Amino acid sequence: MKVTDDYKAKTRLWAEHPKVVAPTPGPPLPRFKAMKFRTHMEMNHWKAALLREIADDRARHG
Amino acid sequence: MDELLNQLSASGIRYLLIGGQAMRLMGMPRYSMDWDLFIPPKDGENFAKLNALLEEDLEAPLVPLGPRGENFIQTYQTRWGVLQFHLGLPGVRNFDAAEGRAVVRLNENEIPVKCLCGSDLLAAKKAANRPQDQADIEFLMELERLGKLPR
Repeated sequence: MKVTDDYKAKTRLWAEHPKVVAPTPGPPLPRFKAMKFRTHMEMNHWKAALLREIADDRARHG
Repeated sequence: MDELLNQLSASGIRYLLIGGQAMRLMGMPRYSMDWDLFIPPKDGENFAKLNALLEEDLEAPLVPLGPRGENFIQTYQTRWGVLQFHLGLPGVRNFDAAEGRAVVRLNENEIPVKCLCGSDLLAAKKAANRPQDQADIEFLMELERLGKLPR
């Protein structure tokens, strides 16, 4: 088994040798309007729906 | 994003990087689709500076926290990516105290970024305790075990 197959081992390696890596570019996002939320729960629901939309779109169009 | 980070510092804007990008700057290889910034909830001068700086990017101005918790999180799609402004943070009592413990970290291009300190980040992640926070919590607790968690 490679050490990286073990998530806890991977976490240990990252913590022992922390290194800042450049952010990975994500998929293009659909346009959305500015949003305001009262709670993190509201925001998390909205974000989950947005991620589902992106995933569905990727599944449909590759 | 580097340009914006430089402008935030140059404008003296009060902010703390939190969330996935803050985890990344602590050395955890991690993807995040947005930039989460903790800002003071009622600092009018800070809101004015932010709105002036981001005038071309925000379709509606950033506004202070409302009396019933309105505007607690404000999310914008900008040329810099998705920016989320948090006017409060579970597990962290208030912005001013967190700002006093803030840590400046360098990003991959050596740009200084004011970040929530490691122990506050851990407290916030534990308070949120969502499924997606668990890996971050494990990483931060491992840093703590190794004595590498700043404050």
